[in-house]
Amino acid sequence: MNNKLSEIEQRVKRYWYTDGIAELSSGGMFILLGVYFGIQGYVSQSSSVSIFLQVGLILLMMAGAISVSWLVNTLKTRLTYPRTGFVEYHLNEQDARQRRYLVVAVAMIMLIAWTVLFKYKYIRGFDSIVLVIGILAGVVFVTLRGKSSGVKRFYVLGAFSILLGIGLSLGGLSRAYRLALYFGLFGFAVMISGGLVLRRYLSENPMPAETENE
Amino acid sequence: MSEDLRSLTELDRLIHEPARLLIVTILASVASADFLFLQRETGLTKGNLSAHLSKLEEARYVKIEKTYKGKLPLTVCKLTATGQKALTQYRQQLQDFIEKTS
Repeated sequence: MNNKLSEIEQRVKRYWYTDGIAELSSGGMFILLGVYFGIQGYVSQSSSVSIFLQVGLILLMMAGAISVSWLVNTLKTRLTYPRTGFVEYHLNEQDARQRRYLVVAVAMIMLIAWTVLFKYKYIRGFDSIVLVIGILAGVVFVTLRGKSSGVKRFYVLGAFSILLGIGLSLGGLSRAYRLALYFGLFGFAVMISGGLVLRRYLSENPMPAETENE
Repeated sequence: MSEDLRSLTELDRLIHEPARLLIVTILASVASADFLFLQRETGLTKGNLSAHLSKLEEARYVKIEKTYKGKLPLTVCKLTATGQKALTQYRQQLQDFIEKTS
């Protein structure tokens, strides 16, 4: 019986990802980062625009986080809550513990990644940053989102991120272009995943005739 | 064995009812949920869900608030500390019973 109750709890947690809106929004943010690094790769390193762009990254990240949060909230209020209901989540002790494990896991992966970097620093064209970002994003998707929510598609996205990180770390491009390709392709994959989920969600859950909740 | 079986009579009957157990289990895993979400997850009719929520509210296991999210009217339900304690106790009692009798 307790197992059944745990299944119910996990199903409720999965509800956040049932409409793909969170992926669509975060995928858009990744693409924006891809565009940013693409521009940085195009602009000469010594130019004043490049310096402006480097400062702009912090602003882009901050504005992006606020925009994603606002977009998710707005889209869910308009599309999801009237169709299948509103849920507000809280951080319980188990989630906090999982996050602590994740921080430890990420720290260990970074340590391993940097050790590998030192070993392979003489390999021509190898760029560790893309590899580390690919692995980190992959771990976040697999551990934090996939494992805690039980949503299978996050495992695929996590694996894709890791493979993309490995593939691009071995290419012959400049760092900015590698990062642009990584964020662009990964963001595109996340958005496609979110878009397909949203399309299915909207077709399976038409807007009810009455919007009154009770 | 008979004493183990007798422990079943001490179960909280308000939570023991399957529909209400489902409601409090759902509410225990979130900070709050609205009427529509509970209705879809439990598969209960509006009338049935209202009746069960009223009983849980009377027992102060659940707090019900009418609010708005943007322009969307919501009936938001939250499990109270009393409700959380009752659910934890119920699960423990049931677990103990299963362990003793299996």
